[in-house]
Amino acid sequence: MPFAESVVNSDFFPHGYCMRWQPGLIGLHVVSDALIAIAYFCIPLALFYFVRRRKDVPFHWMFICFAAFILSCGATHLMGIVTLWQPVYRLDGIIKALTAVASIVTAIYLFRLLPTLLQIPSRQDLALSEERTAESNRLNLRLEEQLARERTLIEQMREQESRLQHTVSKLGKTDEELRQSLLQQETLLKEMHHRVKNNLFVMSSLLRMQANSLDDSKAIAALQDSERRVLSMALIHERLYGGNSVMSAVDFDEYCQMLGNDLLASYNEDPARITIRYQLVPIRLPVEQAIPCGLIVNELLTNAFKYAYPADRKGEVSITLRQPSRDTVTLTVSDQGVGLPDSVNWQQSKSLGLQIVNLLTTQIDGTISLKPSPGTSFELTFPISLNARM
Amino acid sequence: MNSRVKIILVEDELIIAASIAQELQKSGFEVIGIATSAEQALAAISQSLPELVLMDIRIRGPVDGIEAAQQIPKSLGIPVIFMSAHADTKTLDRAKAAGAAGYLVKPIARGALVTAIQTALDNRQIENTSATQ
Repeated sequence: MPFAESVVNSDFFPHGYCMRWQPGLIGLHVVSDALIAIAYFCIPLALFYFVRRRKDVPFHWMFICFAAFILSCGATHLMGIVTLWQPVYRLDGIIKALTAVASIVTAIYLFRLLPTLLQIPSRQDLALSEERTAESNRLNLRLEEQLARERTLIEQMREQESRLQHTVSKLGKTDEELRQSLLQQETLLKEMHHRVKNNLFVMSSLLRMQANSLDDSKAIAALQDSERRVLSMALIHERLYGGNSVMSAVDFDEYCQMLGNDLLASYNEDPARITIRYQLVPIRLPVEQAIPCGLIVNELLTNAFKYAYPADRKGEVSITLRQPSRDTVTLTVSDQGVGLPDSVNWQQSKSLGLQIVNLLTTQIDGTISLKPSPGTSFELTFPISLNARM
Repeated sequence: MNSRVKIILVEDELIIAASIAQELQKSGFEVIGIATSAEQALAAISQSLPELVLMDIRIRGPVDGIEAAQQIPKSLGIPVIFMSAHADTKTLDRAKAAGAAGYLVKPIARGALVTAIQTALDNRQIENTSATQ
C-alpha cells in the first residue's frame, strides 16, 4: 500500500471502541479535546499577531516556535477527536511526531534562551529604572539649565572683560597723557625758574653797572649790597631749575654753601684771611621759605664779612644748619670777631640789613636770638614747612 | 588831610610791605598796622578802625584778599584798594564785585599809590555826603 494511502488507512478499531461507545465518556473527550484544540489554534494566532506587530521584540522566533508547538499540540487534540470514530492512527502518529519535534525544538531553544530571559528586568526593575530615568532626565534638565545660565554668565563676563580691556587701554592712554602733561609742566616750571634767575641776574647787573658809574662810596656800597641780595635770590632759582625733579623745594644746605662761597669771594680779596666753616645737615626747603632764609643768610654773612674782622684781622665765620626736631630748623651764623657794639639794638636797628633779617624772621614764623659769645652769633629757629616735611 | 589818614596794609611779603609802608609814610599817610593774612587783617581792622585798607589779593591762609574784603562790615564804610601782581579779567571782576575802591598792579609806583588812595577817600566822602542828604 502506498505510504500516503496507509496514512489515512482506517483498518484499525476506532478509539471509541475502547470507551465502549459510552456517550458520556465520548462526549467528555470530544468536548475537552475540541476546546483544547480551539484554544491551541487561537494561541498561535495571537502569538503570530504579536510578532507581526512588534517586530522590535528580540528572539521573536521563540514566539514562532511556541506557536508551532502549540498549533501542533492543538492538531493532536483534534486528532484525538477524529480517532474516536476514524482510526487514522498513522496520521495521528505523524502529527504527534511533528508535535514532538516542535516541542523538543522549542524546549531546547527555551532552555538556551533561559539565561537571557532571566536577565529581563522585572516590572519593579523597570519601574525603578523608569524612575531613575525620570530622575536622570530631571537632573539633566537642571544641568542643562545651569549650563545655559553659565554660558550666559560666561558671555557676560567676556563682554565685561572686553569692556575692561577697552577701559584699561583708555586709562593707559590717559596715564600716558598725564605723564606727558606732568613732564611738560616740569619743563615749563624749570624754564620759569631759569627765566626768573636770568631776570634777577639782569637786575644785579644793572645795579652793578649803576654802582660802577658812581663815585660816592656809600652809594656804591649800598648798590653792591642790593646787588648781592638780588644774587642770593637768583641763586635759589638757579638751584630750582638746575636740580632734580622736585621743582618746588631747594637743598638748602647746598645753597648755603654756594651762597657763602660766592659772598666770601665778593668781599674777600685774600682767601686766607677769612674762611667759612660749614656744618650743614641736608634739609630741603620750599621756595617760599628758601628765599627769605637765603636773604637772612646773605645779610648775616654780609655783616660778618664786613664787620667781624676789621683791618687785616683773620678769622672764621661758621654756618650751622641743624634740624633739632622733625618740625624745626635752626640756622646759626657766627664769628669770633669783634662782636656787635653795645650801642646797637639789633632788634630795632635802623640798619636795612638787620631790618630785613627781623622782617623775614617774622615772615617765616621764626625767632632769632643773639647768643652771648665772643664775637657775634645769630641763631634763627623756624618751623619747617609741611610741604618740605612730606 | 593826608597826615590824619590811617591805613592798614595787608601784604604777606614783609619786605614789600615795609617798602610800601615807607612810601606811604613819605607821602604823609600813617600805616597803623601790617597784616599777613585775612584773619590778622580783620582783627586789626575791627580793633583799629582804619580809614582805608590796602589789601594784597594773594595772602597767607585759605582766604584771599578779595574774600577778606567782603567780610569787612559794610557799615564801617572802609574803602579797600586791592594790590596784585595779576591783572587778569577774572580777578578784576571778582575785585569789582567785592566793591573795590581801587586796583593797583605791582610793582606800584608812588604816584599811582597816592592817586588811588586819594580817589578812594574822595569817593567815600561823596557817598557819605549823599547818604546824609
